[in-house]
Parts: sequence; C-alpha cells; structure tokens
Amino acid sequence: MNNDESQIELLLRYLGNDLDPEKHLEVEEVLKRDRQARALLRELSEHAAVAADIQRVVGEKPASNSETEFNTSRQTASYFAASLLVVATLVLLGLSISWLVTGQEDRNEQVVTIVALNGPVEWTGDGGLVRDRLHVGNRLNGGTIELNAPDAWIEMGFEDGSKITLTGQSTLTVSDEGQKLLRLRNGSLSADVNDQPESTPMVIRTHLAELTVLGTQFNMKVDGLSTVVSVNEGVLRVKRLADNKQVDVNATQQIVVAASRQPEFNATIRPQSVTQWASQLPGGIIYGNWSMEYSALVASPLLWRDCKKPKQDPILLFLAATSVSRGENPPVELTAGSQLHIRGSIEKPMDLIVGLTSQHLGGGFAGKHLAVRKKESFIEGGGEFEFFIPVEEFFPQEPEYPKTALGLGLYDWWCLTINEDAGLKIRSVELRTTSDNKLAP
Amino acid sequence: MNISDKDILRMLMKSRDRIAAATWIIVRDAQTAEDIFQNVAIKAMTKDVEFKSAGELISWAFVTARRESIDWVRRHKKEASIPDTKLMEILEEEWQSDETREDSRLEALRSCVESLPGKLADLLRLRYFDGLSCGKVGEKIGIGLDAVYKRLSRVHQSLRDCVRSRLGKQEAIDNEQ
Repeated sequence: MNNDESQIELLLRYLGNDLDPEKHLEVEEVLKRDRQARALLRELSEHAAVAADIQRVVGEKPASNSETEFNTSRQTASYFAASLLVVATLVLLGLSISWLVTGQEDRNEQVVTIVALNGPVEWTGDGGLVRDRLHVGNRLNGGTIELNAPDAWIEMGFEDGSKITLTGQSTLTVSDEGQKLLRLRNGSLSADVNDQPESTPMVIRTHLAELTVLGTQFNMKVDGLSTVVSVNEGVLRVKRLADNKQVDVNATQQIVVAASRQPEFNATIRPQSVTQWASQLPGGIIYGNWSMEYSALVASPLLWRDCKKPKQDPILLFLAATSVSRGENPPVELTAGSQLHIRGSIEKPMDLIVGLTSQHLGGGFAGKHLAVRKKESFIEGGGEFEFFIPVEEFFPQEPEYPKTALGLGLYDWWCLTINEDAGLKIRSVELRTTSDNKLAP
Repeated sequence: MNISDKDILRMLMKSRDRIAAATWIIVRDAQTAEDIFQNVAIKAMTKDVEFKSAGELISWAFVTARRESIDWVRRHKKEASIPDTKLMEILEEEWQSDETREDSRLEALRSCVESLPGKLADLLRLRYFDGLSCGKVGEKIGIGLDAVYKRLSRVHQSLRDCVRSRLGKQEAIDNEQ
C-alpha cells in the first residue's frame, strides 16, 4: 500500500469513526491546518455522495465496464504534511491484515415486483435502506412503500400473480415468509388476490382491523379515524381488533371499522354513487395548510421527483389537495355535463394545473386526469378567481389511463403551480352538474 | 436584482454533489444527505430573504445544510461525533472557491464510478448507498475490518486516478481544438 492509500485509509477510518478518540482529534487538527488533507477529504466525500447517487439512478447494480482505466500507473506524490503521515504510520502499525474472502453475500428473498409506478415513491427495505429511485421491474424484498404525493401510485405483483395498487399518500409494509403479510398504515389500496392456501391466507392489518383474504378483488382506505373495506369480487373476513369481532364481507358490500366506539359491526351494501360533491374545508385536506386568517387552503411546496425519470432534476410544486370519496362517503360519479367549480385567489398569475384521481365505480384505481388554466385566465396582478372546468376537458396524465374521466368515480383532486410560489389559496371546490337546475356558466 | 425561484433550483442542482458531500461528512448517510439537500432546496425557494447572487445562495445552502445535518445527528445518532465546526466552515469555503473545472471534474467522477468493475462497485454500494459501517460491510462479504478499509482505500485511489486521467485526456482534446 503506497502513501496515498495510507492517507486515504486514515481519512476513511476518521469518517467511519474507527479511530480511537485521541487519534480522531489528531486527524481533525491536521485537517484544520493542512489544505491538501482537506482537499483529499473533500474528494473522498464527493466519491461517497456521487456513488450513492449513481446507485439511486441505476438501480440494484451499476453497469460493470472494463477495468482498463484502473490499471494506469499511480502517481506517488505525497499530498500530506509530514505530521499527518506520522499519525497514519503510528495508527497502521498496530493493525493486522485479514484477507479471508468468501465472496458470497446473502440475498433476501424478493417479495414483490414493481409493475407500474408514478410520482415520488420510496422503499425502505432490509436494514433501513431507503430507495427513492425505483423502476418498473425492480424486485423488492420485505419492507415499506411510501407514496409521498397525492398523484403518486404504484402497482406491485406477487409471485403467484396477485396484484396490489397503492394510490395517493400511502404507507404499506409488505412481507412474505410463506404467507403474505401486509400492513396498511394509511392511504388507499386496491388488491386483486388470486386463491391463497387456506392455511396461509393473505393477511392485511391496519391499526383498527385485520383482513383475511383467500382470493378476492377489493379496495380499502385507511386514515386515523377508520378503515373502510369494499369488496368487488369474492369474499373476505374482517376482524375488528378492538373486540376481535369478525364479519364476512361479500361482493358489492362494504364495512367500516371506526376508531370511535360503535357496537354495530356489519357489512352493508355499498351506497349508490352520487353526482354532486362539495368540499368541507378544512376537512379532507391531503396537502397544503389551512389558514384561519384567509379561511382557505394554502398551497405548500413539494419537491416532486418522477421515479420513471430518475436522471431528471426534481420539480418544485406548490400544491393543494383534498380527498373527495373517502371513508364511508358514497362514490362521486363524474357524469357528462358535470363541472369542477373552484374558488380561490392567487397573488401572482401563473399557469394553474388542476388534477383528479379517479376510481372505477366497481372499485379499483382508474387513473389521473389534468386540466390547465393559463395565467392569462387570471386577473392581471392576481386576486380572487372562480373557474368552472367541465369534466370533459380533463385529459389523462399518463397514456395508460382512461381517455376520459367520464363515468369514473372522483377520489380526490389537487391543484398546483410549478417552480414558483404564486400565493395560491383555495376557498372551495365543488362538483356540479347542469342537470340539477344549478346554474353553471 | 434577486434570483428567481427557477434559477435558485438550477444553481442548487449544479452544486448538489458538493453540498451533498459536505452533508455526508456530518451525517455519514447518503440517503439522509439527499433528504437534507431537498429540504435546503425547498427552504431556498420559500424563505423570506432573497438571494442577490449565486455566491450568496450557495453559501447560505452550505450553512443551512450543515445546521440541518448537525440537528439530524443529534436526534438520530446521539453517540456519534460531529466534525469540528471550524473544519466544516473551512471545507465549505474551499468547496465554494475551488470552482475551477468543477463541472468537468464531477462529471469525470460520475463516469469513473459508473465504469467501476462489479466487485469494486459492490463495495461502494454497500458502504455508501446501503450505508453500512465498514464493520458491517466486512460481515456481509466475509472479510475483516482492516481488509475492508484497505480495499476501500484502493477503490478511492482508483477513482482519483481515473478522474485525473479523464481530465487529462479532455484537456488534451481541448488544446487540440
């Protein structure tokens, strides 16, 4: 090992906290005095930061190219003052060298494969490793998926062909050690589960309920107050954790497990959809801050990174979002002629993007659709605004989404400006239809 | 004239590797360093004080990242040592002043990391992406702590040589043109 590598090793041990306290302080004193030592420290930390960033972009294994660049002759110039070299020598003299190599690393068993995804998604796997650059085809072992924006979603498949889709801001922990065990901490999940062995059904837990799934298609929504389960095909068993009562929920039925004390615990026929809806701010806020001063939902910053474009710089959004059809509320159907009526204010006119998340009325995530109001639509200099956006105007955010949102159920909505804080505030949002004698321009 | 939000983000992204490296020295966890960088970016675009120059912005970003990093270490790694503040101030100053060919140097570094052979890349991945301590890296691949440090040292030295080689070739091309 030459002098340069000795000096590098010393700094790596300093960074790894693998020096005794006295040596640690000595190295730090040398670094404060010696410019070349600091230059080396900066290089090493850049190597660390860049290596980690590239791994995030590339995925599990970076491409492996030729080794020719690493066979060049090394320069032997010393970069340290004599003081640091002395310290390095004293530390390294007492160390023994072990070259025992087995070369085999354990690989945890993969549980799910990513089938599709959109928006900011993070995976925390074995040992607390967090990955935020995920790709279609990534195979993930047991861990936790977090979706960090209202328009984020991910579809994952198990080895047996079962599929689950998470949408909106959600947190789900997944494991499979011979039995699929999921924990939905918050958010929305759709699942299409193939037949499971009776002895090892899929089990999904929330803070209020436990679902036993043998083979069914269903949706569930979890927040701090309730767990709501709607079954579209098959049957599943729901247990209320507070008292261990169990109920079988069949197709077209739903059940609500509430945090409040409710003696009744029965599956009921899913409510019919409605065609109108009005926000009940400050209730239902998904993103943004409620301002009592302005009686409005104020858009908040979100650094949005698209998992599908990992090399693209993140985009700064100023976002406000609320839920529409959650908990036990009936589904809200987007019908021909209906309009999204938005009232609010903006301080600096900018293009405003309005989005909808939709579900199939029979259950399951359907897609996301957008509409735009150009900055010219606002009063010059900013101020109050009121828009009526026909549902027909919304277009799919991704090519794989339905061409129109008509006929789908409105799940949540959002609006945002890009890169700049325009002072966007939302006072109310409604879905209105013209067929009910309600006037809409 | 103040810098616009769009330019703030562009300038911060250009300095991202250096700010992340400075943050990493304190938190020793690449994912946390990235999260802190993102927080700094958001703060830069939403704080009340505006920036009149790139230098003012980047200087503010280094200091803010350092403060967030120290807070993070105090919350999550109570027993860990935090580098001397004076040392960090000097490092940040040098990072900001040493901008000669910074872009091409970091670009060369990225290419060199991407070109690493499999086992060497795995070592960097375990240590810096997975965030394992050198002891844990050794356990994972079945070698002792000292061997891990020696191997890591060689990888880092290789990267330095590779970067110098690439910059040298680029300089030769530039001179010919």
